[in-house]
Amino acid sequence: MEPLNDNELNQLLRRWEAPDAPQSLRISSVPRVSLWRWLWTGRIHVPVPVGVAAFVFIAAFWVISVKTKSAGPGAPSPVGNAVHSVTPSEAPPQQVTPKPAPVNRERASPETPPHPESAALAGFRPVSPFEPKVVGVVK
Amino acid sequence: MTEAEFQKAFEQYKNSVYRFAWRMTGSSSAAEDTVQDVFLTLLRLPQRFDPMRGSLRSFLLGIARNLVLKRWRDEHHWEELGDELFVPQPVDAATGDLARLVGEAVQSLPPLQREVVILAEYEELSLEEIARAVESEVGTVKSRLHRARENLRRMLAPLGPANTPKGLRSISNGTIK
Repeated sequence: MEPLNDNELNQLLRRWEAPDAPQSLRISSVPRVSLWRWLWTGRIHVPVPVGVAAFVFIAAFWVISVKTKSAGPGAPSPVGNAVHSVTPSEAPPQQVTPKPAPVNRERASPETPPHPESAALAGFRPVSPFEPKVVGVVK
Repeated sequence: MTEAEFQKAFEQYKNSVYRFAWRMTGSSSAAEDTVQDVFLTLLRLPQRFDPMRGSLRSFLLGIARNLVLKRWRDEHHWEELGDELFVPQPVDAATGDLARLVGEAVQSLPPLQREVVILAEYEELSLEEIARAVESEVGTVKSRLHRARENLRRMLAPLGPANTPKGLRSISNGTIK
């Protein structure tokens, strides 16, 4: 097959004509795509570091929230136990300070009164009996 | 740039930018988007145009070229922009309209060859103007244009008069008979 010469190629290229811009084409500084359409078809380019940081933040937030839920709203706080276990009579005088115990404000509710100055045993429940189970054969 | 100057530039060059984008993408909506973005760039950053470095038309075509290539990269993540692996395939002369066959041949060229062919053959820019628009050396543009024309010669060879049996096909009226 003989290749085209320059003249023939130019002649052929001229056959391909492009249309002019439509008369309705105007420049507007507002986006031409409607917000509704953009919400369905639009794209957002996120740099990788920003995307990774967002993912780590969301994952950490999720883990923390799951752990907080599994601990339960009524679970006793170790700080609270420590305060209740120390009574003014047991503690040496120099250790009894007027410093208020740290209060978990998120869990504070009308039913839970503030920590008393003296220990009250009204709501005290002893721990369930300790029943150890021996697994295996004792020779 | 005043509003009147901008409107004048828009009316003067919108067709040129549109035709270039249309030939590069084959899509009228993509070409309209490109025209919008090109002139919005001119409206927002008129200081980027330096008359000492070339004409406004070649400057606008340069912006259009960058936008078209950006779009191409977004749509062809894993394809090479270069032309090392391109193998030209002759067109099938039996499949109709001559203009469409030529258009398909040009659009099948790798983007870097396609843009220089369109800027040189259709927009009639000089090699220096093309080099500024595509941000390359004149020598690079020259060799790209040469390779593009060689590829087109091979692809369009079946449409040449020497390869068209007389009485069966004619390209004189724009269609193959």
